[in-house]
Amino acid sequence: MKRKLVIINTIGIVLIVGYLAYLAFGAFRSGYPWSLVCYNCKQCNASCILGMDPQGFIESAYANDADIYMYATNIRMTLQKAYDIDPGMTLKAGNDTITAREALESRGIPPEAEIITYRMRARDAAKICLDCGACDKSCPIKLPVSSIIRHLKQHDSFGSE
Amino acid sequence: MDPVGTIALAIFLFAVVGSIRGWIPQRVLPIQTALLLAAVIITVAGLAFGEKIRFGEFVTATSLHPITATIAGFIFAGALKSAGGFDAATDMLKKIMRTPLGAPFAVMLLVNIPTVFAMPCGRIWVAPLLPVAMMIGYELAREKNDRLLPSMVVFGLIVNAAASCGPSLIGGIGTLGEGMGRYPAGSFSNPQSIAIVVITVAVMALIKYVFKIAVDPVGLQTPSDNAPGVPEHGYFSFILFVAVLAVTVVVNPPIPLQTILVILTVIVMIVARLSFNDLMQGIMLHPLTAMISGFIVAGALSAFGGFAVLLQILEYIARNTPLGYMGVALILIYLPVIFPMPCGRILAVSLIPAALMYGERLAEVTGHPELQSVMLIAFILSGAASCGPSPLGGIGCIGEGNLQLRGFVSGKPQALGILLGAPVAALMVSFMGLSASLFSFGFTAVSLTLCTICGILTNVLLGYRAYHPGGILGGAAIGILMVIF
Amino acid sequence: MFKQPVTKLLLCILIVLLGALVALQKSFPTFPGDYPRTAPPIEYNCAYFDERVEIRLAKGSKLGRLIVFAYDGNNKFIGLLKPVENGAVVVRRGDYADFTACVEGSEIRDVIFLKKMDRYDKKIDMFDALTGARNNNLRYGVQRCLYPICTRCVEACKSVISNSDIPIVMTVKPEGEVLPVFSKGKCPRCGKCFTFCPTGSIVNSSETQHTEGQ
Repeated sequence: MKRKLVIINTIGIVLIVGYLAYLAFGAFRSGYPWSLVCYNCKQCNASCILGMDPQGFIESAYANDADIYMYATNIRMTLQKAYDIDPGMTLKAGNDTITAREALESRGIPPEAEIITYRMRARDAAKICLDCGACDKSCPIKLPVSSIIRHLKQHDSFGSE
Repeated sequence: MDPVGTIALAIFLFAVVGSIRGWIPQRVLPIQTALLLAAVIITVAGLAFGEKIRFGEFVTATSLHPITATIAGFIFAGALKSAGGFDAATDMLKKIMRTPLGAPFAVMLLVNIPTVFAMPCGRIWVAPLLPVAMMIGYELAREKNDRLLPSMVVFGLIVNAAASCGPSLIGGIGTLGEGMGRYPAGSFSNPQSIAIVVITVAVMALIKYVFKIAVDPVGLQTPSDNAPGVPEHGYFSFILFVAVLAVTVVVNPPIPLQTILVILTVIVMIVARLSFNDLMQGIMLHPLTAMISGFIVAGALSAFGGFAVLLQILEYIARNTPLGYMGVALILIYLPVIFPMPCGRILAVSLIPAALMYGERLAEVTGHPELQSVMLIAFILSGAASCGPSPLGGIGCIGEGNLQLRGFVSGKPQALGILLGAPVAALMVSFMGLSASLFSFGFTAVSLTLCTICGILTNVLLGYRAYHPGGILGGAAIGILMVIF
Repeated sequence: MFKQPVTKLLLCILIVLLGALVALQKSFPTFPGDYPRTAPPIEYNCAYFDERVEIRLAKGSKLGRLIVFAYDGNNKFIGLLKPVENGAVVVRRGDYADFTACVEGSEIRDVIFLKKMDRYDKKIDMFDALTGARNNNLRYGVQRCLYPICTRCVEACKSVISNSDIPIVMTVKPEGEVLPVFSKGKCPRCGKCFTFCPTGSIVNSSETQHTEGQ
């Protein structure tokens, strides 16, 4: 390998290792370092009646970003409410997955129609979460997932966002 | 189709195929840098098209669990190596090989251990067992004068370990499918475990008869008698490792595996009086960095709609070509093998909704509702095993590096092995349904039969007679252990 | 003895642990020690239309969502979680049930979720289930409590009292709804159950009496 390529590739590898360090740093900055421990097994997903994927909250914690979109496939609300929460929220319209904005503006679905969500931001999902604790119970390593949800419910974002 | 998603997909495919085919020479851009560059180009293209970028969306594609499990596995492997654990394991297997059961029994046991005690990431087993597999492989190669045997044993172990995160009850990819598909917890385990034994033997057979991956003859010249004796702590370390992981699988304690491995490392360090430098012997940066770069490019692909475009293409093919939904469902099952990622979780999380949708369509078309679970389990197994043949820092890369083989050479036999083995799991679910019970007579009978047949095939593959008791008993033992654990 | 490195290390660990304990003291939650009380059932009126059932509530709901339930001929509990909009819950044709559960006597068990990601494993039209229950004199209605999906009160109680002796028993009422029932003699009055209850099905006995009195 030529010297220039050695330098370029070394920078690449350092960036990759730096990315890993960034994730760990993000987890600490959000105040939930244990989020790094998640098995990503989705057992919590199976226990949520709202069809939420609680692992999405964990991802948002180690990304230190409450605006990350996560699955929430069984939340019913009016289209207007969905649009007011986040026009970029995706919902199911027949077999298609469209955003609330598209549903209201392009498809002409009436605002009072009841829709079922598909993906929404972690901060919005936290506010709708029933706080039933089923995700905590189903976690094979008993991570306190609902503590992140309660934090987002109260503060809308992570500490250092 | 979204232009940004299409461009993202095209760049990704070029980077992956280009690296595998040699269009992007590894001496110019190794796979890690190529993937990182692809992620940068995708991002720049996205920004040029006016797309908003959220770094968080990149991050969500990164599954930390396999990365941390790999690091913990490597560190422990370092401790085990310094404490003489590998020598002890090899010594134990050599003793087994000297019994009438011989090499087939030892190999059958070794290559299938990862699936018997299935961990959430196969790399946990590969890190410590790979040196053992290499030693046994070379020993056999010297005995039988066959340069294919080390590759057969090593890649048999690797594909078995790669797929073992599928049936793992402690946070494997199978649980991901059970969770997202809301199937009973543990119901995907048995059919996958049994199918993995078939995949393992299929890969060994493909290496022997089709791909003929031979190791450098220089490695075979080292006389085995010169091997150092087993240190006093070796047996303790290795037995402790196997025993703790076996107990972990059975008890399923609410402690992350990584923590268990770190505690084990500390114990081995204290007992064998090891330093931190000893631990570094186990660390291999290439598979780690390649895996992380794979996650980064998958994040870019996900953030800019690459996966969505992929699904649109599949939908178009299903509607407008003679393949129809049945054909596309098959393509979808094998998509993780066609685009093998460093961790099966990347495609599994992105495509399980599509797998459920196609499963439902199949069920409607054929009138067989069980086809949804059949499709999902085949997809999960193919996804779980896909980190074996992945050139993006998959487990196969570890084997290729250690055996000093040409890069990406193990991909094809592994991919073909998965192709042959996934239908076995599907057929089992199709005929026997799903069962989450601890003991199922049907699965036990099938497991015993199939694993014994695999044992007989192992006899033949290793150059022994088909009815050699080692392979038969080894297969039967594995068949029973698969169902028990 | 204190000069030995191991002892020094142990002492350091002990000091750190004590410091952490003192720091955490502030974040340990405190609970209002009192007896719990089951909130009275929701009062509602059902109006049946061609394509929808409108369930108008006398009072709002704390959670903004309620479980609409109906029993089938096999005494199976069919449930759907619906939002409360403008003081009413509307079940339309094509609203598929979220889960089913088996009811044996006053016990409820074997919850099965019917939805997998964005599609249904088995479609049970809740509108048909409600009208069917009404036409066949089977039980139907709405309930506040999310049991057996939510078990926070039971789990909270188990953290105080051993499993076999907990004072909360989840019971299926003759009207068909699931409610927690308390055995006061066994209750340690820790207050965890009504603090954790997200739906307002369990309330602090003294506070509610006070509020109701007002």
